[in-house]
Amino acid sequence: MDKDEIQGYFLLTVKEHPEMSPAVAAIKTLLQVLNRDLAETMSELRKNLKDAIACLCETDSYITGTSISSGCELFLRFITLAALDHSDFEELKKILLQRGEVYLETVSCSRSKIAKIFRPFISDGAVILVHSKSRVVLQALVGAQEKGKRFHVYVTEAGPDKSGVEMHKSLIAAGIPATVVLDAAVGYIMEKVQLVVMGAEGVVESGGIINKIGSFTIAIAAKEHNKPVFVLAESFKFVRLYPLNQKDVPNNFKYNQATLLRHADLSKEHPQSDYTPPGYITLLFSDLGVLTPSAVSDELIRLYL
Amino acid sequence: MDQTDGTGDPSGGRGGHPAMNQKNSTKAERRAIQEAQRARKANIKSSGESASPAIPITRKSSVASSNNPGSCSPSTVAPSAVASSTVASSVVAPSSPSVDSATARSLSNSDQSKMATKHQQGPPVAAARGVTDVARAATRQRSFNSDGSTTVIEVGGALGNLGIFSHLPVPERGLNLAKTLSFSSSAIHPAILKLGVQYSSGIISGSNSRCIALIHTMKQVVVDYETPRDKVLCRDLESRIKPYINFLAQCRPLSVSMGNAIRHIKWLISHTPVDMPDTLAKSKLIEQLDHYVEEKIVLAGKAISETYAAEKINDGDVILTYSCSSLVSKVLIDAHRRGRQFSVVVVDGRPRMEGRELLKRLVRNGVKCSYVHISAISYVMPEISKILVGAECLLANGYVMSRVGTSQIALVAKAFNVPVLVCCETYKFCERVQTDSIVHNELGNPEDLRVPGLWSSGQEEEPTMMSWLNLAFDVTPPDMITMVITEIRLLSSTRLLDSSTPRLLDSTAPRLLGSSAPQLLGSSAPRLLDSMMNSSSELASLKVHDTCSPSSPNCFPLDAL
Repeated sequence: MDKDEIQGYFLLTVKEHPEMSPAVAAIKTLLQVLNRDLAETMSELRKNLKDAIACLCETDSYITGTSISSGCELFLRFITLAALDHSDFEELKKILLQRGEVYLETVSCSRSKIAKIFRPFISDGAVILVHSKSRVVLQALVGAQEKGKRFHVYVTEAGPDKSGVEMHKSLIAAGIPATVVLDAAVGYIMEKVQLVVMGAEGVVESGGIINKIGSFTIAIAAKEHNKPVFVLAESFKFVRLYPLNQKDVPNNFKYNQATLLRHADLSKEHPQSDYTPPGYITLLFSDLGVLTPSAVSDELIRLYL
Repeated sequence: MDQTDGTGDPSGGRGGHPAMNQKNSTKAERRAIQEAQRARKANIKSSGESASPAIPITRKSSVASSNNPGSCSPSTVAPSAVASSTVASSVVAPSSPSVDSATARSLSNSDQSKMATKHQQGPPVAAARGVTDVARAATRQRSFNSDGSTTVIEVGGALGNLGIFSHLPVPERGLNLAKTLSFSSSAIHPAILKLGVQYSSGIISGSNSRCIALIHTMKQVVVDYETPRDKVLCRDLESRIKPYINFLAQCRPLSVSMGNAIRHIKWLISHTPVDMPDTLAKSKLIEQLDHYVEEKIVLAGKAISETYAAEKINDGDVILTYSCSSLVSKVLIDAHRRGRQFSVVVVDGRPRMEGRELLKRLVRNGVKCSYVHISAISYVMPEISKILVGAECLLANGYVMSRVGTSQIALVAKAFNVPVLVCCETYKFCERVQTDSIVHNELGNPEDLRVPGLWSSGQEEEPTMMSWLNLAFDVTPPDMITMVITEIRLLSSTRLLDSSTPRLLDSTAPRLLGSSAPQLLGSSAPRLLDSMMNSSSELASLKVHDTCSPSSPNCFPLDAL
């Protein structure tokens, strides 16, 4: 598969399954690549897959490059780690495909797992602040509502793309009382709120998260008001990266591909995501369990080794 | 002014005690004997006799020791037990306030508050009090000067009275140590003696270089070793080394890096097969020691500077560093050679002024540098983008022990929101837990702190209430440290609280590095772990991780909910 084909397949998958996380779609695409690949040795196959990952990360319209790159890298590690001792390459490829399917399977159900373990943290009558649009947060909230929890959700509008409005629509559709607030109203709303929930584009080694711009602001406000900040993120979003501050976050995580490709002067561009240090996060919910931020790097290293 | 000419030194009084005696008695007892002798002299002085030429104790030290009888006299009575004494009051006749304060100092910590109030009330009854630990309370320091004479410095004054640092080992410094060894202890290898003197005089300092020097010397010891006829190497050599280590520890407290190296050496020795011929065993030992240096220090430094640290030094950075760490200088110089455009602010502090050495190294390699004193730290901090410091050791609770002053830098950095990066090889990890700089530290020579000419005006004597405290290290809490860079990975130091970490490091570190060390050398910039992943050690490292506990304390298992 060449570059256009890969990107086309990926975009199609994303379009067909709007509820699917882009990282999962990317993994699906990789499986497709693996399936059609004509490589005859392991290292060639590995190289082809790596090229495919690079293509996916460059996909134009997508800003959530963080989770795509981490998800793909974990996928690659997962399928190639155990399969080095086979004499017949065709056999080997079958095994790889099989493992790929297994990985896709686990990744796909991780969201429902998170929804399940997060449920006890929503008490009846809670007031929850949610930032921007996050599929895993949505699923967790809907799951809780289905189990009979009653709560109210405030959603930030989340500029510049107003993805919070979309989130609001989905919440209302699920029958959850929800209100959209301005990003600037976070400080105002914080005193009514019982807990803050957000998703993440990437979870980094320090235990902090990279997420939609504005997350850091909310986390600061929440800390000042002593409200817990819960982050819901699947384990494929764990990235091998240790940013020291906002400036230290790589550009491809902060700006979307189109901006970077234009070689625009980045100081005039607005970043799409920010880094929230671990000190502002109370707990991280992932399919590996509930983690304190400081436990993340342990889990991360276990994933990547 | 503060020197005595050897003959008057109380250690000269040791000559009265046979060497055998000294060897058999414990350190505390020996010290008690010395105290007793000094007390006697001090008593003579304080009762009005002027210092005769035969006892040329100069003014300052005489003041210091006249301050001492309260603490010393009990030991005249019971040199071995150093326990309570009721006779003390009769020995300490002069009821001067200075005696009183000295007695208060000599008391154990528990009695202190009580005694302090007594001291304020005035009556000099304190001397009769039970003195529990004379040897400990009388902190004493000895240094040797270039002309071979020795100096006795009393650590007294305010902090001495508080006594919170009295538990710290006071290293016996320099030549007088070698003298006391006499013939009976000539069993100590000359290379070790030399090393001890180099340690105590500060010729070799710095965690890494001390460790390398130790291993190098140990290699010489191994070369010169011959197994006695009815013994085996794996047991005899280990017991042979023990007094060497004790000697070195007396010269200067062992650093964590050395402690870890010594443990490794002992392990290597005791795991030498019993039936292995001497020459083979020795050459194998030497090879393994070389390997240790290569792997734990040289390669680790390379890994740190070429992978993780390199990523964190960017163009336009202004990097602040404190004191002199060999690792930090390597990191900075390597980054400069790689063409990164950055400048360095070297911060320095008294008394060691080690920053000058770092400055020299950096400037020699063409790195742009500024040099400030630590008191200017808040002035330069707004300009700084990153702080890079070395460490003496990394404690199990995530605290970083480093050259005294580092914690202050980290504190100011936190206030200015500047990330603090600590470079530390994993062989400097330590299982100790410590939250302050008091419980475990190293006392430097207080003489180094003195400012010449401070008390000289009008021949004024130094006030006895004053003390000079020269601590070598301090600890920095993990919440002031953004990141610890090791050769294995980047750590957030809070994460070290997690109990699975030591295990991770214990089990993976040697193996990972051991198996992929050659590749490390070859790989230029990619992450260390990546290069490991591509190697054949993949499966091995996977297995290592499977043995890690499934649920660390920081991780709630799923089924708990």
